Amino acid sequence: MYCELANKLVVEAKRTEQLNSRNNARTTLPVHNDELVRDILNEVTQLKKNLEFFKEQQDIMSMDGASVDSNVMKCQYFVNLLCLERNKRCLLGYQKLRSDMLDSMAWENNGMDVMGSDLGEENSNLTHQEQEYLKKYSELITDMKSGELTDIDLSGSLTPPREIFIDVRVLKDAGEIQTEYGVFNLIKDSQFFVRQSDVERLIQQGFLQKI
Amino acid sequence: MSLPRRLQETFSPEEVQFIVENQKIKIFPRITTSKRRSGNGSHSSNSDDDMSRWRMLTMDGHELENMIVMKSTEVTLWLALLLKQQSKCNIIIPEWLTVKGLDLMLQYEKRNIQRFSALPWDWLVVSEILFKQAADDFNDPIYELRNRIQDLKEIRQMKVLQGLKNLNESHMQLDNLGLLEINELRPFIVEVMDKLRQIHASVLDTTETEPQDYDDDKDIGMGTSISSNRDTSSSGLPNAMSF
Repeated sequence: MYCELANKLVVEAKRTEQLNSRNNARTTLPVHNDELVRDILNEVTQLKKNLEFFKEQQDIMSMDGASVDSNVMKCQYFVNLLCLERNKRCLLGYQKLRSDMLDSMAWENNGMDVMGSDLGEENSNLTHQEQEYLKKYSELITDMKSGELTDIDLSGSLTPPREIFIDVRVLKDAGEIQTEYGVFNLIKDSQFFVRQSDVERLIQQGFLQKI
Repeated sequence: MSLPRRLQETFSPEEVQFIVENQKIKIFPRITTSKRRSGNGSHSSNSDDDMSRWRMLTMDGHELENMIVMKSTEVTLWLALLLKQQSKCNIIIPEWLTVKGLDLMLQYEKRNIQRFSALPWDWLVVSEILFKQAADDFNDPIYELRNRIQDLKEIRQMKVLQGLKNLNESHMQLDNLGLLEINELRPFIVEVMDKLRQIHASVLDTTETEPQDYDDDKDIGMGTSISSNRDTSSSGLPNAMSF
């Protein structure tokens, strides 16, 4: 059937969206469905060939001077065009969802504290173009952050501050990481009473657990 | 996007609390920060120097500068809570958060089925915060206050549910509904009203015979199913629906 493949793609996008809306954990992007996209593109080229064929035929018939039933021709054009449009819409929708998720990933956990570190484990699921896009987008974000006069951490925690000092428990890391406001010796399973603003980044990275 | 989806259309409860914490509240300070003009003897100049050295700087207001022990002043709630944590002040409980005040409200709620009582817009959050952090400042026993707050919450919740039957595409009136209550209703109501509005608009598009406005009685030429539905939903109440 016409445009059935595109429907599959949309269903898959829907599934991805639902998976990520339920749990508030990190967004995970499934593998880019190259095969399906390629099939859709094949269909699109096929449709385009059809259109060209119709055009040729119309030219020939009008040259012959035969009375062409132009309404039928127009209808064929129209249906083909609609199919093209639909495929385009589905492809764009799929890609938009993926790029939105990439954006949120870039905002959530890129460029916190350790600038310039890309998302390592996700990269395999992304196409080459998407990786490129993610890199450029992260650069844009860092540009914006450095442009600000105040040192606001725009990608920082979005929950409003409650207490200045909090208890944190070290979850997994050993070693001295923090160097911005003095050194902390973070040993696994130890607790600290620290300023929240100091450890916010470490909490976001999952080294510490707030109590 | 830069903002996670769950925050895009409504406030999170933490944000509601953050907004509420900018309200003013009265406290009894337990410390004196105002410079004493009439010092005694040689001691005064020395202490004045000390005082000026640790002037407290805040963005808003200078209440912090001239607090006198046990003389009530008005400060922002977050500051009051901060001082309270270090037991440097006592928070004065607002008038409505007493057994008497809450009883009045409860009576009003029970008498008027169509309306909400005039509690302050931040009543749920403030009572929550004060119960938690300033429990020793209440004159009335806390469990009674908690009971009443819970009763109020349930009664109002019930009225909200009743009022939801009257959802329509043009307007609704929610007098005296608290911020937290509105906040938890917002995604549902806005979405439903939006859909209703879309349906309504499409009906209007198909029958553009006469200029129609949102008055219920006038739109006769509408699609039957929808108009009948709306008629039943808004029966019994005047046009300006109040919960």
